[in-house]
Amino acid sequence: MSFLTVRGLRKAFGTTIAVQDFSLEAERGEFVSLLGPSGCGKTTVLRMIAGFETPSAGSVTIDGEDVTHLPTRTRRIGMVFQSYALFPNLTVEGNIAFGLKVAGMKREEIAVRVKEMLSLIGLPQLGGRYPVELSGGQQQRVALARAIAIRPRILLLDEPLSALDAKIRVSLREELRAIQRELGITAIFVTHDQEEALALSHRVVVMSEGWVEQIGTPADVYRTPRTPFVATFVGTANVLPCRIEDAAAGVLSFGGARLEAGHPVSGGAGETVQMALRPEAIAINPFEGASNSLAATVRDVTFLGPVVRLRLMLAGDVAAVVDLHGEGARDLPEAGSAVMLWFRPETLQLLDRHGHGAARA
Amino acid sequence: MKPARIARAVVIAMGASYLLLPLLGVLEFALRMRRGAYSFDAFAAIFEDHRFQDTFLYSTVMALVTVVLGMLIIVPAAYAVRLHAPRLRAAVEFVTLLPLVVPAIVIVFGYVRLYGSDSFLPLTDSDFGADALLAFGYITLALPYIYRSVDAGLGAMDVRTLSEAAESLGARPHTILLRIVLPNIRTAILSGAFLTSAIVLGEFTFASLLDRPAFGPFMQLLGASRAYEPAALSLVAFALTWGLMVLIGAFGGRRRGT
Amino acid sequence: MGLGPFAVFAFLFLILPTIGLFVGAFQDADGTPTLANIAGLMTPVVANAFRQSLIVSGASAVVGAVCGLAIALALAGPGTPRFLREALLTLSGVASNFAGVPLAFAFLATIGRLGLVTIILRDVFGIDIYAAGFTVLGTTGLTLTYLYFQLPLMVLLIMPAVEGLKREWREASEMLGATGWQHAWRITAPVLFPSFAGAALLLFANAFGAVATAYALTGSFINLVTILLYAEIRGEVLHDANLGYALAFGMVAITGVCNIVYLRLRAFSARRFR
Repeated sequence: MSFLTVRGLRKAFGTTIAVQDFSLEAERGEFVSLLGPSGCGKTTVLRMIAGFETPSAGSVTIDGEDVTHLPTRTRRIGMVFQSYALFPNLTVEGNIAFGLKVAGMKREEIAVRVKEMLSLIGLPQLGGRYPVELSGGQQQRVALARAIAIRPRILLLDEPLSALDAKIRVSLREELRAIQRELGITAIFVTHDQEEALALSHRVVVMSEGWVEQIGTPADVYRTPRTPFVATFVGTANVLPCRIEDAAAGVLSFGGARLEAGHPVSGGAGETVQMALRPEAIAINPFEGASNSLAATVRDVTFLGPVVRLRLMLAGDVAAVVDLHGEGARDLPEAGSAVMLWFRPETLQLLDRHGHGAARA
Repeated sequence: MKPARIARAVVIAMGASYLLLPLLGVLEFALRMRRGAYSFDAFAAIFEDHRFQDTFLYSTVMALVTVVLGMLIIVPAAYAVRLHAPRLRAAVEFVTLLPLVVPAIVIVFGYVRLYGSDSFLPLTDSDFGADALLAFGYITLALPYIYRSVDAGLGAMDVRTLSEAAESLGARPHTILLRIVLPNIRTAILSGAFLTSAIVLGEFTFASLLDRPAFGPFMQLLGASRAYEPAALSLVAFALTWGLMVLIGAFGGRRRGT
Repeated sequence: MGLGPFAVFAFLFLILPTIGLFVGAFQDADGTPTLANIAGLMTPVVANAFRQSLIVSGASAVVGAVCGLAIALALAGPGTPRFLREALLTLSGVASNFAGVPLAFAFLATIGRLGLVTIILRDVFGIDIYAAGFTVLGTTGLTLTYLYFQLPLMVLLIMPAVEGLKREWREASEMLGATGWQHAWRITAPVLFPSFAGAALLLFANAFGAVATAYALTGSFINLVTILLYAEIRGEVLHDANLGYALAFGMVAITGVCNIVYLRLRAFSARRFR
């Protein structure tokens, strides 16, 4: 039995449906990210788990207890907000101690716990400061400590890094990961930044327009995207419309070229399906005629540092992106030249033709 | 319903009633003039009274003069502070806050002493002098509100950047003021103008102590001698104030994007 | 430059007259420095005027502050529909400017001897307030009248602070286990207090300096500092200009202190609760 079970969660605001049929089972100590663009419903799901929004349908169960209709106060969750939401009239210590004071803990015990929290977030000297005197990163750390101090069953984080500068975002992200792994606290993390989701999570839930697109480990979601949305939202992908020639053998055609997927694809012969190909999976091949070769014309070449990005045009006015790195980035072709692209069969992914892929754990 | 919701509704209801009740009371009273039946006799009586017409006209003209003269003095000052003398801002703001600290009666007392009959500049001796004194007094009363409104308007239009842009295109100072600044703070000026008018129209202290034939002293005088007409007057004054506030809300109110 | 006319205006019509009064407060009729005028503020008539002014201003400020805060909180609450909020804020804007002579008439017509509410209370509820000793011309009546502009003024003054209360604070409190009362006591009240106290002080100063309403309502029946000063300027009562200056000085000392404390409270709030 999982620690957090969310079943069939749905939320409608008037005629707008913000969340459609959201289900998730998270294990104790697991870090799950809800990833998607603004308006996809991820924050609404989080707030329903927290108890700030009432679901139109569905249930939320934490550690065997059905909390769907319980007030937030009794759910024993901790939450970190995007805008920190620190109490301005209390010091750092006051903020961290707040939940403990309200619970009636003894003064000496509170002091011990607060000290513990301050050292956990690496700010042992700042206990007496007021929030207005702290930087954004420091404030968010205090907010985290405040949420953890009460020993919540689940930690909910609503885009906690989005308001911070890029450099702080990365360093705080690593700290957050370390703290969560060390304490083993179950965490649900909402973000629109795919790098954050991939770096922090055990599993990622990709969402779009209220629907779950795919649930999987970061590697799953990146290497085997199931829908066009996931393929293009998480990283970059080339999406090619291909014709199935032999479904069982996984042979397709694109613009006259023969492509092998290396595994069977579902569908009938003659059907057009969408195949995804990551830019870094493609090499520029001097050999012609081999299968999994595509003819292309180079549109432009951009040097990005660790990677050189080529934009090309394929047959049928389909645009493509290729990333070359390491030694493959020498001897670059010029804009306007014709090249051959080659990729290994297993890197070609079949995408579901309808949007919302089946959400398997 | 949640108890918090009920409490809020009750508080709002009580507050609204308290504010509306006296209006109801004064309306009912004003309609009582004719014995035995409700009528608008009280209103008719005041509108026909030539003293009402004279003093109302006087105060209206005075409001206009105050607005125009006030804007001429304050707008360039607010503009100058923003553009050329930001260090003087604190001093200017202090001055604009003084009328809120020093009560009107103290200010007019100062005028009477400084510009009265036995002073170096006996303005009160002549009608024109006294009228001028009253106008300046009203500008003083309205100063905090006009300045705050105009200053906010200048801030919202980022006057510094726009002035520099205009200057780089070859415009001279008075052109910038007339063609760039004024059109963009139009709503702020109107807002300040309506608020000033509301202040001037019903003002009593200055007009009474400077012995001018304004609307405020007329109302007070009427109240001392008549019963029903003052009530009708009160409603007319309230309707005017309300009308001006609505105009402010329509023009000023929440700032919209430039 | 643009500041020229402004400077001249401010000097001639704001600074000079006021300074002149203060200097006069410490001089006698010949111009010799003296503290006799300040001492004159302690005489029974004047001291009584200060006492009455303090009572009326204090009462209308406290009641206005508390009720105004309650109304502002109710208006800013989540369940209140937008149109109701805007309507009441506009009504507050109007009411806060509806002071002076017309306001006096309105209250005479409402709780005066023949007022609407007086009559309703007597005929419908059987309560005769005038028989019980109440009069609209007394301190209670005047306080009630002052409340008409004090209350809306408070709503307008405290609204920014109330709107500045972040919804996330309430959610964070809830998440940490606090009830509504605990949140109100530990977070909302301390955060609002500086703005509340500052606004209350402004209300007090506002009432202390008001004269038109009181004069139109009671004539010189009620002894207030402003009424006393008014009569003195007209040459009606004290016949001692320098004592008048001292009165003015005393008034500004009080309103000045109120404003200084208000500014300090506002600075504290801005610094700590940004």
